[in-house]
Amino acid sequence: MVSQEQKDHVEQQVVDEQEEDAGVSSPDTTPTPDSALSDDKQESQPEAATTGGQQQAVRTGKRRGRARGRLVNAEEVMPKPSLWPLAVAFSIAFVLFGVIAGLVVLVIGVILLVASIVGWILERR
Amino acid sequence: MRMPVFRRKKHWLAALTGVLLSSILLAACGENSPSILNVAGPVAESESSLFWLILYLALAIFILVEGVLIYSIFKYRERPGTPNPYQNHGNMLLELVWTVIPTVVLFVILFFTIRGLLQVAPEAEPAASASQPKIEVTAVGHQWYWEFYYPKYNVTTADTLEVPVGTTVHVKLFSNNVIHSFWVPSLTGKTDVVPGHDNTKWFVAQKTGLFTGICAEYCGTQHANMRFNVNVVDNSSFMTWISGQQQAAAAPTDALAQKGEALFKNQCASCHGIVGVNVTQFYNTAQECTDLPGGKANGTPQCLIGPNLTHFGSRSLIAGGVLDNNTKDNNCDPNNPNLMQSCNLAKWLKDPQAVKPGNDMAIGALSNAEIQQLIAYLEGLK
Amino acid sequence: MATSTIGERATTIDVRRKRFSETYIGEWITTTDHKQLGLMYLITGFFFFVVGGMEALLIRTQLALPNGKVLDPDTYNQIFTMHGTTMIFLFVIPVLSGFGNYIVPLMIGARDMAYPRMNAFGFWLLLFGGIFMQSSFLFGQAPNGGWFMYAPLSELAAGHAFQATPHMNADFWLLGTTLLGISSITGSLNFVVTVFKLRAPGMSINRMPLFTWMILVMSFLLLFALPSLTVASVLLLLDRHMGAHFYQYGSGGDPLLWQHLFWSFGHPEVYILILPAFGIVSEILPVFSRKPIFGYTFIAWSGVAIGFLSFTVWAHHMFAVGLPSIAQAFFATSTTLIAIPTAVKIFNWLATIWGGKIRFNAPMLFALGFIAMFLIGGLNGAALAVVPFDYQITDSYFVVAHIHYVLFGGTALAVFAGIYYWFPKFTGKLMDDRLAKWHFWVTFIGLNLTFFPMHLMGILGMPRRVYTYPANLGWNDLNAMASVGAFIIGVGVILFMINIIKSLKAGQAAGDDPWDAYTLEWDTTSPPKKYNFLEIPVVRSRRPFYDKKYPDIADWKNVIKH
Repeated sequence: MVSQEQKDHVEQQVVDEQEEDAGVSSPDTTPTPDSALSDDKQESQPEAATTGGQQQAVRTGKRRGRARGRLVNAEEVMPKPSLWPLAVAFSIAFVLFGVIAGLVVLVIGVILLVASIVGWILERR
Repeated sequence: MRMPVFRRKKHWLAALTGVLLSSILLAACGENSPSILNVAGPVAESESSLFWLILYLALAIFILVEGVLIYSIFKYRERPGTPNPYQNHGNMLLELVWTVIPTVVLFVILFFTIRGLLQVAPEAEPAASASQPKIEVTAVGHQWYWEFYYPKYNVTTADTLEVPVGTTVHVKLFSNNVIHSFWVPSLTGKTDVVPGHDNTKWFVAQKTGLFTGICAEYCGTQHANMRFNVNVVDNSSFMTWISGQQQAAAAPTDALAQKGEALFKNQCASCHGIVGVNVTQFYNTAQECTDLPGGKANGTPQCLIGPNLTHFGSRSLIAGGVLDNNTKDNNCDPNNPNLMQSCNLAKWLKDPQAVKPGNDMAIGALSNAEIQQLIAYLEGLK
Repeated sequence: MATSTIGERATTIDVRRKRFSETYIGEWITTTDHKQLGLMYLITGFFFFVVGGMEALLIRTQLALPNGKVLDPDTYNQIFTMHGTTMIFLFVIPVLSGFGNYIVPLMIGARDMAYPRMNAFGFWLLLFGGIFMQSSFLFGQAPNGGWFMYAPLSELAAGHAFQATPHMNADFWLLGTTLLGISSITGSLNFVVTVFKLRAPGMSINRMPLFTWMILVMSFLLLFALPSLTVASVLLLLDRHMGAHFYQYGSGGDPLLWQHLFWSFGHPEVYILILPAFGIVSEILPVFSRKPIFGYTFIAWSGVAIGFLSFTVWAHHMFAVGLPSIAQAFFATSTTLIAIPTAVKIFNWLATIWGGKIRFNAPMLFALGFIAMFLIGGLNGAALAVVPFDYQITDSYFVVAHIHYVLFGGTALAVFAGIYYWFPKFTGKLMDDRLAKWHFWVTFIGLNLTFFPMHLMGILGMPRRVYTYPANLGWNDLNAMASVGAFIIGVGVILFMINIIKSLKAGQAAGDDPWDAYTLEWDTTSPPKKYNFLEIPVVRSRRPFYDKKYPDIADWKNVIKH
């Protein structure tokens, strides 16, 4: 288990610091390295990136002129698992079932739905 | 990859082509079928002639494309030592060619499409003339049977549309329930019977005979059993038939039938009308029974939900076009000892829900004797 | 959020308890990983494919002989309605979204979809929507109005009619499709944002793999088409439960409103169902021909053209409802136009394999089968656009033949091709090629045996959606043939399932790139790690992985004109 986890600690794409700060608000939606680089996609790349992070860091640094290479952890960049999507989806289905099954089911469904939306919003990510 | 399974592709193709060709033959000569290729009038003719045009064009394209496909499959499969192919990314000229050619072909088809469309459109209906008379019919789609009303003659019938040969038939389509679709493959393509949209259509039958008509729009549980016949007869037979239908029902003479009439009044009259018995005349359903303000409700004499039975005994189809009536192997002579087995009407009266599950006919359990009386009465209504 | 170094985290993981999301079940139900969700989409879709397939077999059993007594009419009507609904909403869309979810981020060199939670949300809605709809069978009240659910038959009661849909049947359908609609909307929004925002450096729009292109077009179609269905459904629900009269002519409504709303969703829908299939085939053909795709720009933009045109053709489902001639001529013309980009695609595929070095592995076999069968579906579709001829064959079995050549001969074969193609990526194992070929040939024979005779049934006047037919109309042999064919297809599906199980258990190791493919999803491990790529690849042409493997003859070294 641990060794598997260890592998996930990736020597990963370098991260532009400015971009990283911008990504704080919604870190799970946009992996920062990507957006950092996709800004430059018109720029022609000198060669296919096949080498390790360090070399990439140098290159990116050259290109952006202000970036500093750093290794990132996969867990940090990747979206966190969450139970709330399931909860909200289930409650919506429940509400719609309530539409045909009757008022009681409908009310329970609405309560569930509100609760799970609140849960989704309040979840720390 | 050179595997044996693949080698057999030729056989499958041969089989497939065989199926294709034999089936076209089959389609062309399916005798009993209401085939769209057995045309009996100009409307169906215009519609089906396009079939052959498309079939030939499609066959040509099919053979060309599948030919190229199969040729490439055999020609370009990987063999030991095949060099890597030239990395061809495209060719503008070729793209133009195979954009323009299909465009031209498709627009040729489109030309014939629009021409054909205008040939059969309601606007193309020929005006009445001495050589080309016209009759008007209202086809009413019920769940699940067809009612036909001849406004000029004030006649209502069901399940069989009688029309004279060589005459333009102007059909008004009416439904006050769900959507049905009027389709007589040999005479005319479909037009939907949409509540609130009084569509019309026209056709001309140039051959006498019986043609199968079908409800082609899904209309509920018994959509499958909503057929009718178009009986094309010569002019004088048509007029004879009309004058017969215009009469009120004849009063029964023999005792059995008289009992049957009493039974009818008692058991059937709330849903079925017989002119001279429980209703005074035929009604134009399309006018009387709309959902618009002023329309009569179901159950009023104008809008009984079952078919009008005034001349039941003269009909060749009953129960929404599902059962034969008046045919040789369907012996409904009330004195026939084998009545319950050999007479379709007897089966229908015994248990309509077994014949056509889900239909609206709700009749209490009748004894065999009662069924015999009803048959004597109804089949006597010529 | 600060980035951390390796050492920091490794100490924390050993002391704390396993989170729920790290248990086996927890991992599945809390995942936001696009690959896992993609697989879940695929598995769910395939499950419903089996359900819909069973329904199809029931239909064919009932129709095998005239006057069949296997199902009573109302059950039959429920079954055929659910067959169509299941196959379209619960098999094809989920499976295609599943491919999209799994493959698109990998193809464009992203680490995940743009909105991973919304992605999960979409999947769960689909699952619950599917269960919701199928649960109607438990109540004995499955939808029975056809997958098109025409009003006024789907109303509680319709005017003078006694027999509309008084029970919950239609409600299940209306609410179920609404649920599935929300699911598809979230999914397609996610695709659009992912494709526009998360492409790897250098992957400009015109270097995107064609599958991604087609998923993008599909997503736009879903976004613009589904609201129409949702609105139609809500209006019908209002009619049914709140006393509104949107579809009742007696109170000023109009039954045709439903048809216009439904088909203005329904026709884009059929392209939603086929465009990703085009994409799958456009990925497979070049790889197994050892050539680049021929006419990339034309394939991509013909897809876009189809997308736009698909919104202008809906009334060709309604030629028989009595539209004015001029309107029918308009829709005949637009339908003619939409056939052109479709033809262009087929020619480009032929040109792709022409002069290639073709390997007949299972994916290629299915892709070639797709072209052969989809062509038939295209040709008989063109026939349906010929309005006067359409009057004769619309709502007949000819149309059944057409949609099945397109959706089974087309989409389903492409889906199988895609599974055989990407299975090594999903699992790291190869599928049994021999068994796959058996699967192909059995399916190929079965589908032609089932669906070809349906053309003839239509020409011989057999209407659709009939639960039985009389013996004397000459339809018996053809129906018997079709029923035999349907069971042959069933055998094919069983072969496929055996293959999947066998390959999962004891498949050969695939390696990262078993097909010597061109696109980025093969430039990572099989199955890919959570983060997909150690580092985001840089793209310099339409075949980035090809460039990487063959730097001497890389695409970007040659000037590409198209």
